[in-house]
Amino acid sequence: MTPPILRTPRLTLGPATMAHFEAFAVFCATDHSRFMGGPGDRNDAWESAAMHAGQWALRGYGTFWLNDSASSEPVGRIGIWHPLWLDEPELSWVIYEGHTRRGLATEASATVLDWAWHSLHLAPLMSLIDPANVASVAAAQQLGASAEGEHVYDSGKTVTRWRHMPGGIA
Amino acid sequence: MIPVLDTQRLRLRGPRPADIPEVIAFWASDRSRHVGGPRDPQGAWEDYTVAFGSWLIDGFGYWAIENRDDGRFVGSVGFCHPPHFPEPEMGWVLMGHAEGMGFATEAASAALGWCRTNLRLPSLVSYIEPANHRSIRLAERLRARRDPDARAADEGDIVMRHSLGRAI
Repeated sequence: MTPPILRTPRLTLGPATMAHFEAFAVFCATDHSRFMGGPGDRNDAWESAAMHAGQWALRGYGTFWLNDSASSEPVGRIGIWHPLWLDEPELSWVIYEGHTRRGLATEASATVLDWAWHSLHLAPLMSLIDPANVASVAAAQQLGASAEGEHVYDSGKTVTRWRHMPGGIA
Repeated sequence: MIPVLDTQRLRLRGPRPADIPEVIAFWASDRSRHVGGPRDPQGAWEDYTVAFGSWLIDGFGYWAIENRDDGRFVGSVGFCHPPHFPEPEMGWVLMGHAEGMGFATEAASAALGWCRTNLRLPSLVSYIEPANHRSIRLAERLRARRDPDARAADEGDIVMRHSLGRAI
């Protein structure tokens, strides 16, 4: 399935392009990618982008690449990440350095949650967040999500499972 | 996004969740030794999704191969060009239960024909481990020729160069 285009007041959510890949590769090379397993090289970035794109083909839903609608600049990635090793789909996001603290993750999340609920008819989504990832914890709280417990990855890394409200945010 | 190609006995199509157990079993088996295996289930899922994801990014990628007779998943074939590959590559994987029937040749010929008609690739190669005799023979059946001067993705691999001229 080809991803639809979703719009929020400030953002356009769409499929991967080479411009997105280039911006993502820059992000992956920095320490800002540490909460998603980084830093990584250009090949790691390509594999991540291709894996996320391939999940659309496999499951019919996936993650979107974010553009600032005004500048067309790539600012991050958000959507439904559902690899083999997660027992349910996850609302996952990353906002690149230079675009954080603008409320973009919250704005995009609200639209994705609405799409997941009304178009995909998925059960209320969860987000797995490292407690040290202060910005993402704040976004989850702003979205009205509640901490439900812990999730332990195979690597042993423990994160918090945040449950989003049924129907997205009010 | 992913075109469906039918051959006499096979269908080349996009991925399905039902393919995953076969893919995991392949990567756990000795058959995967020539293509970077073995891999655990997580690695198998990653490899499978990456192969299809490049359709969205590059406009070409892999197909799942299905036996039209019984619908069974028999392998995958297609094209990819990750940043560490010097040139676009054509690759294939066949499940053990589907071997010896010419399925890989049939599927790869269809994929190559589609590529010649629909893509404008500057070049196309297959990187193959020297010990992977079956894959080298398949490349030869596809009329690929060994290129000893080309750089391989992994040192030690043979580079088989495909012709991108129109299919006869």
